[in-house]
Amino acid sequence: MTQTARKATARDETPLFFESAGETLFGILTSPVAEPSGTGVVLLTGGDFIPSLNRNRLWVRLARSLAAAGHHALRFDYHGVGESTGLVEHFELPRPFTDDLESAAAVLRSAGAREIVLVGVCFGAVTALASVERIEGLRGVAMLAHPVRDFELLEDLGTAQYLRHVIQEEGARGLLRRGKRLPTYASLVTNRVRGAAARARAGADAQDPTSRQLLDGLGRAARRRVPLLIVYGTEEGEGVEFEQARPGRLGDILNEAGDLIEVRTLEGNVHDLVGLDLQDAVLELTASWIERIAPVSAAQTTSEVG
Amino acid sequence: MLVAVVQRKRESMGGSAVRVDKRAGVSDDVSFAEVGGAGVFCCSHTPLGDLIGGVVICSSLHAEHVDGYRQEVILARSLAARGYAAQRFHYRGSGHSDGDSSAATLGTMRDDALAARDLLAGRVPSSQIAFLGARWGALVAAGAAARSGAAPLVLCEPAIDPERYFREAIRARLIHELKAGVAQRPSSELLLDELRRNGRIDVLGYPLDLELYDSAAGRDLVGELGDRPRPVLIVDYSRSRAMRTPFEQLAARLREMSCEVTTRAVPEPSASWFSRRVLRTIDALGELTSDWLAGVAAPEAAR
Repeated sequence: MTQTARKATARDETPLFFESAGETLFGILTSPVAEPSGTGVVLLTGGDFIPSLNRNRLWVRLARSLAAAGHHALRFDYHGVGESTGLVEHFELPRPFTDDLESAAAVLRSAGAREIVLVGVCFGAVTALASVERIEGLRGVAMLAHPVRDFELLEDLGTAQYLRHVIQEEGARGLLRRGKRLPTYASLVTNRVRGAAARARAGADAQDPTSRQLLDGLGRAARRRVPLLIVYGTEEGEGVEFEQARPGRLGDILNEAGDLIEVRTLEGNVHDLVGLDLQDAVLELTASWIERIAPVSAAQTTSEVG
Repeated sequence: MLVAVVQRKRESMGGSAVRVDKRAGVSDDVSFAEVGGAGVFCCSHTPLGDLIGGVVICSSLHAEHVDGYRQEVILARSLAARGYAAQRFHYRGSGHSDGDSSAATLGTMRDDALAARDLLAGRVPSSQIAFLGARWGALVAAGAAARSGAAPLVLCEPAIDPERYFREAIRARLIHELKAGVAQRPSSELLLDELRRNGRIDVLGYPLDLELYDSAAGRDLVGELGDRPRPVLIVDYSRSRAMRTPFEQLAARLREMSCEVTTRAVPEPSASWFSRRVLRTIDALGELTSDWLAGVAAPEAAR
């Protein structure tokens, strides 16, 4: 007779501080409550100062669920967030917190994980994908609501479309706030003009508005044969943009990667994780995908009784 | 390097982590304490120098807990740098703590706050411990203060009436659905029916549980505080720099109970279920609180 591994609790968790690029980050390491699989999972929140709990403590629940399957898990606060030290003015997609992630992965390795899986939402997904070549023993990356266009860059979105986006999302105040960054934008517009000239020389393929950051990251991951899970919600624009981008370079990458890249759509808003049912679906999907790419034998997930 | 010492040790439930910041004169000690058989996430922020007193910080709920998280960490470190040990914690069923939110009540939250007080009492004389509550946490802090002698109480944008607080939360969901263009939107009444039927409703990805709802029915902040007079600081976040009417009314009611009440308005956006607020000039609350605590008479010993 066998029984499933017990649920992990705070008893199985170790709070810790660790160094990263001159700051002290805070994280909680959840240890496996089943036979260890050798896989450690780093959980990354989105930007916007969301602590490592994530919405409705989704990362706490996922970490404890993964521990029941034999995995280590680490949820941590980026520098300037939660219990960590440092100051963050704002989160910029072109500047993911890869140093923080590398340090977090090192914590998992020192806890005994031989392989690392990354799970991130939005900014966390950007950080994870940007770190593909920097994480030793990378086993897979789950990207929830990874941005498809780099709104803050202007390079990937028409200026008029960008302004419309800002007004829609943040109103005139948002536009005024961005006005303070005019010198930065001036340089970006210059780059945009140069980019347009380059595209004119390169042909139709270069007209693709899809984030270079996303495309290059996917390309790097595919070349390294790293399994990817890409998840969008039906209630967010990113999923639509992702589908719109398929006819371009994105589609080529997905076709070449084949089964390595799994794209899934869930009902609701994955970016904001609004909805208890959606959160359960994200947890289930992510945990089952990790189980597939980093399988644990039946002997490891169950224990003999009596 | 700003942080002089970082150490980790395995002891008690799940071990604890210690960060010592010699420049700021503060140490942070994070661990899980056992309360009612469950692990409660606790952070102790302690001055490296002379200790003047202590403050138990009671957070708000759900989205407001997440939005106020960084503010409370910085507040706690700021208080510690000014000589006040600060004790933060996550209620059972929330944050990093064990438990399910469906079992949390106003009473279990108050017990968690009292457990946090007891942790602090190991380092600070219980007569010198104050309570600080933000939004929903004000109700919790008031109940815990009522069981701690004449402990001073700091109320930040306090939730005065639980029923109104829950109504605001439900309204936030309805407005979100309206903005999202959801075709079949339930009314507040239907959602409350659903809460009664299913024991839980979904408010923007957070559970509103019947146990908590019922546990707070018919109660209010003044009632939680009991009859004993105590020093009270009411802090409002208000762009206009003027205290909002409900908080002025609360101050008047507490003065009628012979409480020594101070009010302060901080020029920042108000907290609400309707929009995220990440405060940037948040150290002001630490200074405000420590200055006020230094000015109030030492309370009688906790009983």
